[in-house]
Amino acid sequence: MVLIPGGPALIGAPEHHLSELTAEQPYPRSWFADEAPQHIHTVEAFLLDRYPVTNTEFARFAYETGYQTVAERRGYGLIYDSYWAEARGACWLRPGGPGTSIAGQEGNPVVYVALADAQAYAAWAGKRLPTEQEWEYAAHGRFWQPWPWGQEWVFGKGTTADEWAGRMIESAQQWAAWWQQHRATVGLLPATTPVGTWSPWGDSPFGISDMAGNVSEWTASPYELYDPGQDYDPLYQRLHRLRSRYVTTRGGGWMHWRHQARTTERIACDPLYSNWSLGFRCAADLGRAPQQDFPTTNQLRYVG
Amino acid sequence: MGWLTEAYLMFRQRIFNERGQVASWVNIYAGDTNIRQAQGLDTPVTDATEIVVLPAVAGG
Repeated sequence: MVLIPGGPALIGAPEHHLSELTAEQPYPRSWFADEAPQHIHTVEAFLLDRYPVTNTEFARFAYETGYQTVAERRGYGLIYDSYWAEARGACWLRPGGPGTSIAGQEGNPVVYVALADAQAYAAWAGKRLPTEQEWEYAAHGRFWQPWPWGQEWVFGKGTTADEWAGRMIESAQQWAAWWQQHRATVGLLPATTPVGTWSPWGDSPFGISDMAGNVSEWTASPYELYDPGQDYDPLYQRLHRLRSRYVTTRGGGWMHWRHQARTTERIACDPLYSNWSLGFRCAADLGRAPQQDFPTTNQLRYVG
Repeated sequence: MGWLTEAYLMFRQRIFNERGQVASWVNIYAGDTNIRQAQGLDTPVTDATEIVVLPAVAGG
């Protein structure tokens, strides 16, 4: 884990960034307006995992505890074909459903984890989930920048649809064209990359890896508007009113556009939801003594 | 919900799964009650009950 020093931090995106974002991509400003107003939030010093939790790490937890995830218990996981579909048997161990496995992806982020699964792992590891303010602070540092590494998107620093496509995706049509090609070559499997693939080039100012793309990450924070008195999209206002029922996820995943993997991007997520691009990493308070982060022989055997 | 998805077929794939159940990428609220935590599509409502369909994942 990495020590993140405490102190005041700018949270949220500045208005000029939202204006620039609106001009350079097809979705309306209201989609991103919940990133404002930018405000100062004081964060206590804490520890944060350098990487998202991997299949190997989660396998050790499942092996030692017998834990079954929400997706395993309900018998299906969500995959995307021409739209989302409930794929029978899809879960973290069988990410494409029956007959698939995570062999060869031991170092990739675990996916198909609901909030309760992430919390259970964190408790077992003697850790906790980060708040969304802690997550964002760790992603861009004390001052705002849209990407963990700086002000501009750069290839070779994060796993997004743009990175897989090898070009900037500028429209829903371009995304759909990429998806059709990707699906034809990779199939219906999560296209995560091993954690740390883009490190240190894509790291945050604190040396945290994989904070733009690869997997979206659960936080411990209910989804709330930064300033409920402002005029937000009615959907966000509704979610705010239901705030104990939606939790904020951060970071964007492998099938998202680069814009959806920015440091201030916020997604409201049902705690029971999981899919093949949603994972997590853990935090800890100073003074806690988390278990060691390395796999055991039994764990690797269980994965294989 | 039956009327909605019959009158507007495009909503059927967005709201129901292949088994005709509320899909896991959607939440339906009857007032402040998520119908999954009540009686599902049989959750009692009145003429005054506001029914809201929300995505399970929402954001920019």
